[in-house]
Amino acid sequence: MPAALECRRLAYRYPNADRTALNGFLLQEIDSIFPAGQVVLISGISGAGKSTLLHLLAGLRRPTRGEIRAAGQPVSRWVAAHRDRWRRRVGIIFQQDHLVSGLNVLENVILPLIPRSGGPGKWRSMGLDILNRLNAQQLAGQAITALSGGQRQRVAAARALVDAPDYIMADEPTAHQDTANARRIGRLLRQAADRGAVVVVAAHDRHVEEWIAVDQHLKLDNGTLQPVP
Amino acid sequence: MTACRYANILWAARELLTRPGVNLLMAFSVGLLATMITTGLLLSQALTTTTAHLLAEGPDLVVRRVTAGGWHSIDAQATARALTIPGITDARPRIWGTVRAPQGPVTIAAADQDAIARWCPSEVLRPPDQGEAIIGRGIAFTDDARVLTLQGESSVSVRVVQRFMEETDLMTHDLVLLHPWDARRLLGLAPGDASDLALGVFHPDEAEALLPELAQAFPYPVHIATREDARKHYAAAFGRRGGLGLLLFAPAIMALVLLVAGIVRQQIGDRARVGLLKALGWTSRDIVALQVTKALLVGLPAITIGLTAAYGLVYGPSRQWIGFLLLGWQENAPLLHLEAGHAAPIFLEVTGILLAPFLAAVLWSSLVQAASDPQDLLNRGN
Repeated sequence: MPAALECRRLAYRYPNADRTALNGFLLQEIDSIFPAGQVVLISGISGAGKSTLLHLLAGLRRPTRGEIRAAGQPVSRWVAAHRDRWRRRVGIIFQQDHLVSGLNVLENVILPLIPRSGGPGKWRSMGLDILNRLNAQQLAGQAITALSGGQRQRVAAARALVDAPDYIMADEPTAHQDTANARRIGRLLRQAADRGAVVVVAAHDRHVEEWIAVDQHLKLDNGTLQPVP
Repeated sequence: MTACRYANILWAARELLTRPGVNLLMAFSVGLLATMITTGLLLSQALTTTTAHLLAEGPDLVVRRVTAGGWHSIDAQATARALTIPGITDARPRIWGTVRAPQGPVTIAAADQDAIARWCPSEVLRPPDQGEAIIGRGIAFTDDARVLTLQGESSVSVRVVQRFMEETDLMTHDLVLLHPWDARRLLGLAPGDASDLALGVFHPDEAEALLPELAQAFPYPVHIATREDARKHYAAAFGRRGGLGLLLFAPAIMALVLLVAGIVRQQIGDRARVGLLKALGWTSRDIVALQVTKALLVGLPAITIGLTAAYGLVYGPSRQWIGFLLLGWQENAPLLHLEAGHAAPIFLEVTGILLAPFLAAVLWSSLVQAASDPQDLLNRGN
């Protein structure tokens, strides 16, 4: 069972930020706990800093101040080599899908598995399984350039979930999806939380709660997180 | 090697196929560089080895009679005169010279068992009878009757009865071995006269000390050449042309610099992909291993093919035009001698010269990127 992810006085300012508002800090003094086994929804207007917060939680950036702790360990302060290893436990769905155009759908999905144990047979089986659960198995051999926006987003979701990570950061995971596919993604995220993963979803679409069973809803406003009743 | 390692190699190969054009071009460049550098080094090595072999087979000293008009035949008493000098152990009058054949000048030599033993150590050849010839592989004759017409002091037509074996090509390439009677006619030598006198000495290293006394043993002026003179002559001849070969290295080094710069630039252009891989849980070590595997998959076969091509250029049929290009050989090029003990270090050297900067460029740029935060790489890459 993975432990909770915790923000302590977390603050972030882009290096070249305009310092007129909030002294340039996009995020400031965030103290929050994202418990294991729960889906936490973070909403907020565009530009509020939802994606940046997810990137910080996923270990893709270092905070300007404060820290992020996983299982009580200050992962945001770790040296690059240790953070690299910790990141293996994280699955991230980017807002911009960041798929590799030279690889086909299945190859994109299995990218996180390559440096780990197993071989092509196991990778293929795991990739097809997750694609199947997202109703995208028929896309396995297709080129990325041939996919629609919704299909690309489902492939990106499959890539994030293929290795059953302990920490899942999903940035607008249901964007461009029809209701049925949005529900599929929501169901998979719920299942991940039910097996004990920490799931953090960022979305500005208020309908997302219809598709994903959310345990906690936080709103990011003026650089701070506030609970939404 | 574990199954996982094989799988990672397979994946590296798959990644290369995402940019087949660029990677093929890279392989071609590396292979061409390997060919250029190895050809120069191998040719130089082959010539040195070949010259050493030739000289080892030759006499310690060669005495030629000289006059104001140039070369003159040496008389029948010369052998006895040379053997009066202490330290001279062997004196052998030689009949040889250059005459015209239909395709150009050739070297003729009078055949005796000693000459055959020197030129064809692994083969038993019957010395040619009068009117017969044994010829080297660089000499062509066209008519079905296998007749070769030679033009010297007089014209002599001989029937070709045999060719020298390929492995003796170094020494016999443009040689026509004749009966002494035919050779004398072509060179205009009187009975008993010879072209020069080949001498063996008891201490080859001290051959030069015998020169003053030897020169005085003859009642006419002579020119005495030592083995060291011959070595210097060959070295100078090859050195003049070899300098041109060195010019190959300048563009080769420039190409290597450009190649390394290209690799670094390509790697930097790949920042977004490296950032993505890190975001997906690849460690810096995984990424460096992937990039090095990709570099080796491109570099090793390319270098192997380059080395093979260089070997073919120097030792294969194409030595004709590489010899013409780098050494100015106008006629058919002889087979050069290869010693594995000399060629292997060249192959290893070139592999190292090319692989080291190639891998260093890949490693350096991979390590720099691997140390960055994934999101920075993703942002900068886009």
